[in-house]
Amino acid sequence: MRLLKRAGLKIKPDETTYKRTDASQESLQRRLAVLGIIVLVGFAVLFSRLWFMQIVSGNDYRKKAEGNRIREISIEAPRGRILDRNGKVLVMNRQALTISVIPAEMQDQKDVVIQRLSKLLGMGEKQIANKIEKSQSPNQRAVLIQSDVGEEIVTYVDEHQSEFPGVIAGTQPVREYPYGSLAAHVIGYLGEISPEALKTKKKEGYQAGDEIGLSGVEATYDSELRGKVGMTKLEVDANGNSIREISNVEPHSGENLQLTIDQDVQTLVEAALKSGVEAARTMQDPNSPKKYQGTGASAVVLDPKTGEVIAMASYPTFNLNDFTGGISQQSWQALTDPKNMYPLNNRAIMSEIPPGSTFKVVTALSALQEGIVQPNTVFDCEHAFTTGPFKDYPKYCWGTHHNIDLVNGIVQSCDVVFYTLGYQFYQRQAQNQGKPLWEWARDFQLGKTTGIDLTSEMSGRIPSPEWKKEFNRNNAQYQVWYPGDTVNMAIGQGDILTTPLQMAYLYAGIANGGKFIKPHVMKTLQTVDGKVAKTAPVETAAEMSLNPQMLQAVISALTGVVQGKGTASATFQGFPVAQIPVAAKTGTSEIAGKQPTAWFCSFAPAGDPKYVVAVAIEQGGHGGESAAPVARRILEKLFNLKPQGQIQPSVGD
Amino acid sequence: MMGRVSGSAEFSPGLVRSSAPKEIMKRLPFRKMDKVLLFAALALGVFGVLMIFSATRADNPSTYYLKKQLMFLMVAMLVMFLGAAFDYRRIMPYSKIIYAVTLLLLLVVLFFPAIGGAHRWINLGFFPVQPSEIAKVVVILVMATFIADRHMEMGSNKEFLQAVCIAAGMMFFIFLEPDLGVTLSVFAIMIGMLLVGGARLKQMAVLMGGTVVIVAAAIGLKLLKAYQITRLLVFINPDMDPLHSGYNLMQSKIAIGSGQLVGKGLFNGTQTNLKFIPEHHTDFIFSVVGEELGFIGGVILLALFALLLWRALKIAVTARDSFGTMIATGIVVMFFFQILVNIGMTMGIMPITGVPLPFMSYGGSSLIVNFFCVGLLLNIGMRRFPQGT
Repeated sequence: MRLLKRAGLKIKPDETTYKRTDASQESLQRRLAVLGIIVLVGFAVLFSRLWFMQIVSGNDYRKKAEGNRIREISIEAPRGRILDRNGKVLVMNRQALTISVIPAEMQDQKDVVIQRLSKLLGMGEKQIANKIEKSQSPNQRAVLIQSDVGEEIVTYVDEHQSEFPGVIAGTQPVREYPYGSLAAHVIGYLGEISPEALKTKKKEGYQAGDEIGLSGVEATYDSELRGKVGMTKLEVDANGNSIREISNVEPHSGENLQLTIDQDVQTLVEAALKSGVEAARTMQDPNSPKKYQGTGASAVVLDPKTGEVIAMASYPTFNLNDFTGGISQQSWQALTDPKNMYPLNNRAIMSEIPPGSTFKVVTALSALQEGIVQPNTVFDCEHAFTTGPFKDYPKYCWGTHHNIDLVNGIVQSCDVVFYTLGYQFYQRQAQNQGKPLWEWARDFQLGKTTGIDLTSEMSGRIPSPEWKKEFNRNNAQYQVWYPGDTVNMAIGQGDILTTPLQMAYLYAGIANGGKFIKPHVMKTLQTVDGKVAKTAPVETAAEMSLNPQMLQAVISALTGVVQGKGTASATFQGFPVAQIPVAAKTGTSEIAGKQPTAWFCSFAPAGDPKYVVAVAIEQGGHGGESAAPVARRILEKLFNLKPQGQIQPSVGD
Repeated sequence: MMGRVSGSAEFSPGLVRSSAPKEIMKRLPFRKMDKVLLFAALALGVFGVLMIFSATRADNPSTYYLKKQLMFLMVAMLVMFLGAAFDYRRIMPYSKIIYAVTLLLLLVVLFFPAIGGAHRWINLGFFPVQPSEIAKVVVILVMATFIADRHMEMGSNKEFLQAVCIAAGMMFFIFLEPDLGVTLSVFAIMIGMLLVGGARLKQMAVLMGGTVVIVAAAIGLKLLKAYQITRLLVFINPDMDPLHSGYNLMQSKIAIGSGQLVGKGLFNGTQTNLKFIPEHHTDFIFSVVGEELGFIGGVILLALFALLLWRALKIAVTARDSFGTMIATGIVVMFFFQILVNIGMTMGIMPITGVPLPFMSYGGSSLIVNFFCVGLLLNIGMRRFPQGT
C-alpha cells in the first residue's frame, strides 16, 4: 500500500480535485450540448438515408433483389433441319456437352474461375476471358465457352460447383453437317448475332447471344429455322446453387427446310468443278509464261420450268463443321485470308464477270427480233472488223471464218458477225431507231439480281450511255458512248458484267421460250412432324414475246455448238446428242490484267429442256477447253449416262 | 445541481473491500440506477441475438451462432453488473497499470497467428480475446483519469499533447494488427474527449492537420494495405467495380432498400438467406434488420440507440465529478461513432472499415465490452448523489 502511494498510483480521493466551479460547469454543459447536437445530426442523417432507401427507392431495390434471386436459364431450341429435295438430311442437330458461364454470377471470383476453367478445358485464360468479354449479354444469359467437352469434365464441374460459381455444365443442340462442305454456300453458316443486327431484329424476338444464320439459307430462312427459346426460372443463392424451380417454358424447335438441291447431283457438280479447276491449272496460258491460275469457279444447275436450283457449287469451298460451337480464330483467319481466294464467297451469285461469247445469244435474238438480220444472212469474216470508224482501230475475231451466216456465227462463235450486229445496233440507236442492245439485255433479265432466296447476290451490270455518264461523272472525258462500247457489248465484253446464276437464268429463259421463272433453293418448309407448312411458288418474273421461228433458229444453232464445227464439239464427242440434244454456248471473257474466264452455258434436251447448266472458271482459260468438260460431266450425271472416261478439251473460243 | 453536492466526504476506499456481498447489495445505490438506459441496452442485446439467429439459420448447425451469442450475452450481463457494482472512482489510481497491461496485450497479440490477415485475437483456448476491443474502453478510462486529474484543462498545449499521446500509443499498436475500425474508433473517442475536456478549436485544427499529414505519409509509404485503399476508393465510387470490392456494399444496399416499409418478415430476407450479403451476422447485421424488418424495424433500432445515447449524455452532464463526466463522454462518442459508421456503411454513406455495430454484431469481446460500458454508465449515474442516502 505504501509502495503504491509512493509510486503515485494510489491517490487519496479529494473531493475538491474533481469538483467543478460554476464557470467550468457552464462551459462543460455547453460542450456536452454540442456533442448532443452532433449525435442528433448523425441520427438524422441515418434516418433520412434509411427513409430514402426504403420508402423512396424501395421499389427499385426490391426489383434488384428479385433479379439477384432469380436466375433465368434459356434452353436453346433446336434449329430446323435442312434436307435435300429427296429428303436426305444435309444439316441436323445433336446435343453437345457444353461448358457455359453466366458472367454476372462469377462475382468477385471471376479470375479464379477462369483460371480453373482454363486448366480444366485446356484453353487459354485469355481466350476464355475474351469470350466472356465479347458476349454482349452482361447478365443472365449463359456464354458458351466450349462445346463438345468430355463427359468427365461435365461431371467434375457438377461435383465441384462451389469452386465454379456461375459455370454451367450442360447440353446444347449444335449443328452437325453429315456431308461436311457439301453445298456449304447454299446452306450457309451460323454465328452470334452482331450488335447491329440485334438492333433491327430485337422486335422479332432475337436476343443478345443468339446464334443466327449469317449466309445461305440459314440466313434467308433464319426466322423459320430458329425455334423459340425455352426458359427455366430458378431461385438461386449467392453461389449460384439452385434452391428451387420457379417456372419452366419448354423450347419449340424450328421448321425443317427442304431444299431444291439434289444431294447426289450436288456432290458430282462439286467434284466435277474441282477437277475442272485442277485441269485448267495444268494448261498453259498462251499469253503469259504462266499456267492458268483457276482462282475460283462456280456451277449452277437449274430446272428452267420451275426455277428450282438442282445444284449450286462454288470453288474453293469450306467445311461447315468448322463453325459448330463457334469458329476458332485460326480457322476464321484462314477463311478470310485473301491468299485462300475467299472460300466463303458463293461465286455463283457473287462473281461479276463479263459473259463473253455466251452473251451472243442475246445479241443474236435481239438483232433477229429487231429485223436487223435473218438467220441465213451471210457475213464476211477476214479475221479483222474494219467497218466505218473501225478502219483505223480494227477489232479482231479469234479465227478467220470467211463467208459465214448468223447460225454458223453462233456455232463457231465468230466475233466479226457480232461486231457487225453491234455496230448496226450502234447506228440505229444513234438515229433513235428501234430498241437499243442494252435495253434488250435488260429484258433478258441481266443487270439486276434474279431475286434468288440467298444472301449477298450481286446484280451484275449492263452498260448504257446513261450509266457511262453517271459512272464517270467526275471524268468528263470518259462520258462519251463510243461505237466500240456497243460493239464490245455485242460479244459480251467491255463493261458488261454478269454472275454465273444470271447466265443460267438467261439460258433458262431462252429454253422456256422467253419465260423467266425466278430461281429459288427452298422447296418446302415442314413442321417437326413432317407436314408441309409452305411450298415455294413457281413465280414468273418476266415473259418476253419472241418470234418462235427466230428463237428456234437460235436454239438449233446452239445445238450445233456441241457438234461438227462447233466450239465444244470435241468435248461432246460420244455424247448421245441425237437422243439428248444439248443447246450450248462457250465463252471466253477477257478482263484487263487477268487471265480469261472460261464460260459454258447450256440446256438440254433442246426441244423439251429439263436442265440448264452454267459453268464459269475464273482465270481458267477458254470456255471450250476448261468449262465445257465440267458441263459435260454434269450433263452425264443429270441424264444418267455412263461417264466418258476421258473428256477432250475443245480448242477455240 | 452538481455544485450542491460539494462538501460530502463519504467516499471511502474501504467501502467495497470490507463488505460482504449481501451488504453490498443493500448499500449500493441500485435504486437510483437509470432503468431506461438498462432497458435500452438489454433490448438492443436481445434484438441483436434475434437478428444474428435470422442471419445464420442457414448455417449448420442452425443454432450455432444463436447459442454462442446467447452465452456471450449472459457473460456480458455479469460483466455489466460488475462494471456497476464498485465505485467507479476506484479505477483512477490504477489507470497507469491498466494502460500498461493493455499495451502489453496489444503487443502480445501481434505474436499470435493471423486470422484473415490480421493479428486480432489472443486465443485462451475456450474463448478468443480481442485486446483491441478492450483497448477502446481502456483509452476512455485512462484519458478520463488524465483529463479529470488535470481539471479538465486540455486547453493547455502540454496537457493536450500528453492526452493525445495516450490515445496515439494505443492507436499505433491497434493499427499494426491491423484493425482500421478500432483505430478509427479510438481516434474518434480521443477527439470527443479532448473537445469536452476543454481543448480549443485551434488545437483541434492542428491535430487534424497533423493526422492528415501522417495518413498521407502512411499511404505514400504503403503502410495501408492495398485492400484498405481499395475499400476507401470503392466508397468514393461503389459502381466502379460492382462484382469485386463494391459487391458487398451493393448487395447490402439492395437488401436494405428492398425491405421497404415493413420488411420481408423476420427470417424471410432473400438477400440474407441466399447469402448475397457477406458477413451478414457481423459487420452487415443492419442489412438484415433493414431487409427483414423494413423501415419500421430500422427506425425502432435507431430509436433504441438514440435512447441509449440520450441517457448516457444525461449521465455525463449529471455526473458528480469530472472523471464520471469524461467516462460517460468517451462511451457516448464510442457508441455514436460505431453506430454512425457501421449503419452508414451498410447504407453506402460511409466507407467499409470493419466497425461492428454495438450490441448487434456477432462477437463476444465487443458485446462484453459494450455491456461493461453500460455498467460503467449505470455506475456513474447512480452515484451522482452523495452516498449513504
